[in-house]
Amino acid sequence: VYRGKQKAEQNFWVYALYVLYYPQLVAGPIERPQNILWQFHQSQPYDWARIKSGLLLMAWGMVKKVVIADRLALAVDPAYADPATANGPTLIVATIFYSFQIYCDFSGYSDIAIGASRVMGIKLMENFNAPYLARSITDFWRRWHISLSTWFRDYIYIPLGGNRVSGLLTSRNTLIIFLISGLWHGADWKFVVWGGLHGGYLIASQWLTRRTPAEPLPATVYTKAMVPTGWLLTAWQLVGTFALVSMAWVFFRAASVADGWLIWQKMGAGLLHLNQPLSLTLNPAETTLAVGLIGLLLLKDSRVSNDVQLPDRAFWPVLIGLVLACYFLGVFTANQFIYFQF
Amino acid sequence: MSKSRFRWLMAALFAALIVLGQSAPLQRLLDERGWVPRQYAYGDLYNMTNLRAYREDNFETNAMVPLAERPTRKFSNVNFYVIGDSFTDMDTSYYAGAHNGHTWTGGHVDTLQPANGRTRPGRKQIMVIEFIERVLQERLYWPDYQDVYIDRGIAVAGHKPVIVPKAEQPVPWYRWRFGEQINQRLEFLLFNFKPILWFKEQKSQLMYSAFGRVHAGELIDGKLFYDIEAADWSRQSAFIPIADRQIDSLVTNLNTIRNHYLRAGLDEVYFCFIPNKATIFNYHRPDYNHQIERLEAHPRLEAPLLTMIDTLRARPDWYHTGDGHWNRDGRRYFLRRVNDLIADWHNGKPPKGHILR
Repeated sequence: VYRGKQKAEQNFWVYALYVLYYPQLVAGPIERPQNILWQFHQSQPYDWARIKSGLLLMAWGMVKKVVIADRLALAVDPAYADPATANGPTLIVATIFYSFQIYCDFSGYSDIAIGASRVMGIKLMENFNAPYLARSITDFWRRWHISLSTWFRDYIYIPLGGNRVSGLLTSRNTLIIFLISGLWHGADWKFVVWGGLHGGYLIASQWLTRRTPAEPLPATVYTKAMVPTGWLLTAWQLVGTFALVSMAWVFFRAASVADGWLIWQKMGAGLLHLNQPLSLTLNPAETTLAVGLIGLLLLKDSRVSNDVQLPDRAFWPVLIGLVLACYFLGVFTANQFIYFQF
Repeated sequence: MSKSRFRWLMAALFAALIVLGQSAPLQRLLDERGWVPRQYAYGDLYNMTNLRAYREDNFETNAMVPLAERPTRKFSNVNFYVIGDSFTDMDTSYYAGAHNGHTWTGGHVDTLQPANGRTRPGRKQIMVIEFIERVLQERLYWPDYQDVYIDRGIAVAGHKPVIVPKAEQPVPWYRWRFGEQINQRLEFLLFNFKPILWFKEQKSQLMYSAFGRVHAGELIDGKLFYDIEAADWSRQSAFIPIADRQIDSLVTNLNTIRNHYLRAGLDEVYFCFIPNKATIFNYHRPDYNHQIERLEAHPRLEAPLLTMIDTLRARPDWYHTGDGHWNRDGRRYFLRRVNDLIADWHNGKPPKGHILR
């Protein structure tokens, strides 16, 4: 309203609905008034295609939460509860699992919120866009918790000058928003470290990409044959980005900075001793299922949009299949959504 | 039916479900009328795990001492009090005292009867406190045991709470009127019917056979137990170590409880330590901590004991398959023990000795 982008809402009930809109009240997506207020003023006609799409998204969100995230939590929680006794390879697997757990947990909630809203005729913004298919950290932040990232961008980063200032100031601005982003998750140093790491990644990326076009690294550093191209390059970028993001998640999930540091050390040592036996609390069958589900998730992210439209003959089997998967494969251990605490 | 009517009907149906899910008294009413299935109709362990192999279809029959076998003789010169929970929570008409009171642990529902002593000189007052093995670990090692067993035990005139209770927060009206456990209530309301149980059983079986997991339960050698009394992560497990100094402090706490009731005018306070189902079947395990045996043999424990551990170990068939409690045979045995105790006091020959077998 102050910036003139939105008229002040005069209708108390519409304003109250905006503030209390239950699908996204607890954990987002963080909707801005200009995206949503106008929708509350319109009547929403019955649209079966839209309802089907919303129901499918809700069901998929539930699968992500109870089948994938809560199953991965069964392996992650014990390893992170006592990192001193877990070996390196176990912590590596637990960290990879946690990366997918938090994604499925949080994006699952967003899917349910967006789907429920879609059923009622209200369009909420997308909050995730296949973040683990990102090929750089910058790309990752365009795909992860989009509603918060864009909020930070518009309300903090750009007012500070964004990237239209000197390189040093751009780096400062980047670091500031990521440190604030860390603190937004809680008053704990571990979140500051998590935010600082991402800030550091992006600053490094900004400096590298600034110099690359103008000043390529000397040819003696690496030969052309060593530069990966094609699918190898893509794979390298995907894996590299995922590894950096996962390294940062360690501090997000650990009980303290000290625990996070210990896990880093053990994971580093574990890379040299990958033959150590895994001590996961999931049995081999469930570990295999968990890995398969992660594969399915990535496949879905790469191939199927969140706005999929199915004909009735396909809709019902898919919906019933997802519901049955939730019931029969779901882990119901009363795990709250992780982002309910933030 | 018109579309609009259908919508209103559905809205009314779901509103009714929400109200029923919110309201404990309404749900109790449905349960009493038999309109919804009883939650523990097939045993509490089955209720939690839904493993078909542990469903006792005749659970209610197995659980209750038949009417014909219940003692009818009352002893008018003995008042009998029990503090305990589900093992001893039986119809108090089973007990043979003139006054028979059962106070749920921490429940504060019975009052010591000082007037009887004056109006009927010579009437004896005796008490049995039941401690389940895992409950000792849950409550008795910690300072708030006084709150549970003394301040909220059987009400004693003039007793001031030792533990100052936390300031009671005013309960908002919506919490007072509507319970918080709506999910659980709705589950009981909607998903305890037999056809639904089939789905639950399939899921439980899948989880167990494919992933080796049993929800809230622990399967050892084909026997089903509560996970909290058998799993290695649980502080209430009988298979985690307990140091001697912990047992010493437990004995001090138990003596404090007994002395409180003796000072209040009771003639005797007996303790009855009831083993977990898990230790009835697994007491040979090397990691078993022998908590009850160490307590019963402790030289500083002052209370006479109504010991049951040896008898129960010899009769594992006195336990339910799909429930953590003893069945009607176990109940009958406990009942006989307390009624014999009351009879002994009635006859003026209170039993002697530390351990009553």
